Amino acid sequence: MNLRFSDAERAFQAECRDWLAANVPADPLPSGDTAEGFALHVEWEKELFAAGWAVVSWPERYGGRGASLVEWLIFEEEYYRSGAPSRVTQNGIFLLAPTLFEFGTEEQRERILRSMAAAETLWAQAWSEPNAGSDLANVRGAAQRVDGGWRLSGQKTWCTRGMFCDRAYGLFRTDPEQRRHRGLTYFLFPLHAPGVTLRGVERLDGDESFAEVFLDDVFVPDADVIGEVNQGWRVAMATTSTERGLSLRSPGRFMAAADRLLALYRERPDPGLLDRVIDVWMRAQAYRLYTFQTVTRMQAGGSMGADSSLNKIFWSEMDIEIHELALVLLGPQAQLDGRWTRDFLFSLAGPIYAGTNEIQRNIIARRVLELPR
Amino acid sequence: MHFAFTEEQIALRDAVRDALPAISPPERVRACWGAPVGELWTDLADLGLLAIEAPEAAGGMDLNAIDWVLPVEETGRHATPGPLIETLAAIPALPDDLVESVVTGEQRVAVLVAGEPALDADIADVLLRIDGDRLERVHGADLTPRPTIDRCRRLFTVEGGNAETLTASGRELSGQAVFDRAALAASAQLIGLSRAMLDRTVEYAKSRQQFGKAIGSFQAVQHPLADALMQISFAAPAVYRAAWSMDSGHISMAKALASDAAWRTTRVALQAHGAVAYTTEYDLHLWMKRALALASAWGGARWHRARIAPSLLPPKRQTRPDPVREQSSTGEHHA
Repeated sequence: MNLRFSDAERAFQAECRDWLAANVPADPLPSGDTAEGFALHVEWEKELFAAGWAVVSWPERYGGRGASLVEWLIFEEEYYRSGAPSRVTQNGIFLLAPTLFEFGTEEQRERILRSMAAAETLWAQAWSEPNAGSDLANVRGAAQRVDGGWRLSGQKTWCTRGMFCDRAYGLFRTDPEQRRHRGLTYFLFPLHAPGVTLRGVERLDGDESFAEVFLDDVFVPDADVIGEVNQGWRVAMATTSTERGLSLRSPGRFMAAADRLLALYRERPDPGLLDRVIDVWMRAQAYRLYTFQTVTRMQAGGSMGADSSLNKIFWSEMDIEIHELALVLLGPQAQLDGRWTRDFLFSLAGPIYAGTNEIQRNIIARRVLELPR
Repeated sequence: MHFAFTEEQIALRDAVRDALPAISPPERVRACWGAPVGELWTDLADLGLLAIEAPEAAGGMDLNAIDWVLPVEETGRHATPGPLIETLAAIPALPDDLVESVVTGEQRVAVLVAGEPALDADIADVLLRIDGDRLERVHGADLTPRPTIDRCRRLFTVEGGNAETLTASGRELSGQAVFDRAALAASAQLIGLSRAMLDRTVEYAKSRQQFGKAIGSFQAVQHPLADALMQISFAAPAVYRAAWSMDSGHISMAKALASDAAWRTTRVALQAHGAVAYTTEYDLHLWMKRALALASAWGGARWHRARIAPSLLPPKRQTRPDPVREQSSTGEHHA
């Protein structure tokens, strides 16, 4: 065990810190979940990419630096600590890309990854349907075989930034004879093409970035099938495990939020809340330590497995506690539309997206504790 | 950055893990109710558990806290009685000649915080008192037994006697350092206790049938068990980090998280078992009571959070560096 960063890791940390200090916009950008803010966030993403910081852990040929997982965690810590803009590319680089690395063909990786990292093509997730939320295997969207590809029909919903993105990924039934998780295929599809209709849905925080996506005979070439036809469930589960596990919500995000909470406490101390403030700050640290333990195991060839469900419950509940405490400290000012209030509203989505916490508890009970059905 | 134990550390844990079922089975834990620890203590000494951090000159292995944290966690799994926490905390503070007889189990150590009761003080050859930063050896004190809920924890009020400052051979430890070491050892045992309670409860939930099904198939039973696993899983790395750094702030964090995890797991275990766990015939209470006792001993969760609060929240307008921002590794804040 050696919990100090190595000299190389320290050098990497210093490089991240210096670049961010010199380049992060002095004034926060407007929300990336609005049309205006999204465009500015995309400009920022292009700047990140040009400087080689967009996807540090990817191989150089796709625009990365081949950084280790520990270095990636360091980058994330520095990124959030610097107050840099939120990542509007995240559903591509953190959720789709790991799937392409695992299941994509060489052609797909060459075609998709670099433009994703460069924010030339913006990706949205399209998992949920009106009747397939926690019960994702209940997907009704279907694909029909045609010459050279497929025609997709159906309705996807709660597509984050779907109103502003170019393309999306999701599951469609390719074998109508099969039920539940069998007979599904993982597709990439366009959001601006004949047969696609988008409808914006206002979220709790007032931003209209959720999209409902209506697909009516939308053509998708064979080249945009990820993994094997009818094997989409397996491919998708690999992605959701990544989403919950490591890449979507790195410790740096919560450490930065917990630090902001400490700063707020210093401004507006309330001894009655001190114990809870310290507790949640510790939980952010504990998440960091747990993650370093996980990363060490992964670097030795281990995998995340169902542990990613523990992670997801832990950070999402901690995030709510951080923001709830901030609102209590703010008192009547918590009514105003500000960063804490908006972040609080967003934290409430944490136990819902990427698989509800109830589903995660089921997974832990069955796969980790091996309790019966 | 490398957050994993070495093969040697895992091997040491496994040796202890293999030996403890015979050394510390529930019958033997029960036999220590209200009675001195007896031969079980010699068995622990024979296992080498007390020698890990002792100097080679005194018959020890000359290793560190990071080498005993997993073995001590194992003793938690078995609710092993005896003054293990206190002994491990005290060893670096003792002179070599004394250490030699302590690691073999011939002489025993009790450690108390001034004003608080001491565990197994009546069978102790060496009684140490922590008074703030001071550490002193107390001779000829009057001991008054105190009734306890976990009757393996035989506590005594210590009054009177003569105090002498303790000087180890070249290594002087502050009272604070000994206290921290005890808090760390208690944290490790709390993790082991929690893991054992969860394991037992999961097994019970798989076999216990109600409404024609295993109760472990009900989500109302499954979800609290999942939560207990989560709390234990996120507390354990904090305990291991503290054992590696021996930083006071890290130890406080470890003890706070481990105490809360143990407290929660105790409640979940009792609730999932139902009435049977509310009896003393059933063994679970041996773990539950120890968990509740150790969650309070050596500083409870709230106490430890209060202890680190000033380092995280320096007074306003002071230009002291922010400990979080200054931190450049998991091992180095609160510096």
